[in-house]
Amino acid sequence: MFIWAAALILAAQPTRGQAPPGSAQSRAELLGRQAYPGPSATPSAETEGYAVTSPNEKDIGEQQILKRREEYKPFTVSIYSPFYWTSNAALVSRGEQDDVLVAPGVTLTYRPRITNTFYLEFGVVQQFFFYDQLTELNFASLDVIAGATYYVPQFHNLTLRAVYDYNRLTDTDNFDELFANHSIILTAELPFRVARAQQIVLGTALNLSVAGNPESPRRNNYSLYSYYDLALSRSFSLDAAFQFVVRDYYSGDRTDVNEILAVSANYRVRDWLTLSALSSFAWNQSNHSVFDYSVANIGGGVALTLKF
Amino acid sequence: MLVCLILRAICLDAAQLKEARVTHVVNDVKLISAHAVPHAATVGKSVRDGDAIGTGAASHSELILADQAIVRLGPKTTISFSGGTRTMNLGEGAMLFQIPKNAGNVKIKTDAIAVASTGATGIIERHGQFYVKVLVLEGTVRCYLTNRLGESLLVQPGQILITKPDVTALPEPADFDIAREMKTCLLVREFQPLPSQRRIESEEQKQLNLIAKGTYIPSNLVILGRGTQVTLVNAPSATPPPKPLTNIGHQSHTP
Repeated sequence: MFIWAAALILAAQPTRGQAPPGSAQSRAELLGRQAYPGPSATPSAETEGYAVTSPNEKDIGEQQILKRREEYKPFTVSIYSPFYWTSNAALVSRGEQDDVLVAPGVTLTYRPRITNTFYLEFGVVQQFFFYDQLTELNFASLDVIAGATYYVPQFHNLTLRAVYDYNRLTDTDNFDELFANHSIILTAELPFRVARAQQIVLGTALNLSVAGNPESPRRNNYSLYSYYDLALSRSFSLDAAFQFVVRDYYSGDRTDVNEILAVSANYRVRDWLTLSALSSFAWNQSNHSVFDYSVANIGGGVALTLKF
Repeated sequence: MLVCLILRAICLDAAQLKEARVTHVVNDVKLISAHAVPHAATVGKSVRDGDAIGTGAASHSELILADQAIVRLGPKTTISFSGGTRTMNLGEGAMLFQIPKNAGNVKIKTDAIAVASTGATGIIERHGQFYVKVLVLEGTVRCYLTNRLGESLLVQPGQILITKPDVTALPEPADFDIAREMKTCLLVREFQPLPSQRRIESEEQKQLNLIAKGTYIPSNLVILGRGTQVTLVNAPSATPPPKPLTNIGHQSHTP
């Protein structure tokens, strides 16, 4: 569940540019939960049907088929609180300081189904990042999104998604704005079901900054990602995710290459309650060495999710 | 002396756990053992690990395993036992199984498909290389492929799974009316009431509630007995002369 918290940094997150190495933007990407949930409803591609002879015995009785009325619930509310120990709280290349942080947040999404393969998507995400020692790094992140998701079941359930994202970063005291960004996010995902309990997803994402204030931190992200999901039981699953992203900043000639590896173990206590153990590792290399950093995060999380 | 008694008790217990007992025989039922020629099965006869039992046309039989699991065989059905009779291999035909909650894990295999449960009542049917059908009346059954890691699903009460015996991915189960199944199933009606009868009735009631709520909509599609041939009937509650329609493997073919 929180696999994205550390890894899905992906294209989903807003862009920030020319920011100092320890910027809230980078930390939001690294530590925040996925700003808004990605596609979750994959239409069934079940197409099996058999025409076979029947032994014509009545012994096992009559099986009257019942049709289950599908009840689609377009609203999702999630309240979550990941917490981490981080080896490099400020994401700096030198003088790293570890810290513990907690990042409570709430997400509200509305995904009306237009057709079986086409969904609209609207969401609001508010998340806070509170550091134990380095409280000057505390910040809050607000995302407002609107977009659409289109599934292509005839092509391996390819998922195409386009959303507009307004992101606003503030401090946590007075909610004074640190950065605001408007971006367009385009993603394409291809799931490969290894077996019923295993899935590998390959994806690519473009996160294009349309406008930002201040102008200087704006950037475009071009990423490739993959994640693997293994359901060991009805309630317990393991996830691993890897992302490779190139960050091209608008101001100056800065370009970063960022790699993130994240693993998580998730236990679903109830349909609406999930506990997770999380860890992630990130490496950032820039053509300006001052922006190089590496960081490890280890922690856990609890999430309450309600659909209606 | 005490050690001998304990050892003897352990040996007896182990031997009993590896045996099933025939409790009901109608017409032609044969026991097939590796060490003897096939012979007629009679009530009280033991079936051991490695043995097989088969029924002829218009015949059926019932066995009780050492852990009180009940197995009822329909006509033209063959099963063999392995793993101390805790694993049954369905070669052909149809069988009803009732696994008590405290019986431990009982497994039924047919080709690459295995059905395992620690407490459930259901029916499994196989016809050659054409299809395997699993119905669950109460409890939860895990269906999985023995040759494919992770290809596993839980079949809940009121769900029916139809697939090919050599399938590489399990399809989604459909839903069926438990009450109608119970009223028409000869493996229920022509035997003593099942110990799980009340739990099955409870599942019937749950389905009725869901039908009343509109979660389930009774269709006019019925599989009349074995096989996968779906018959269109005029109304869900009536049973006028059936009209063959098509074959299905899953729910999406319902209207």
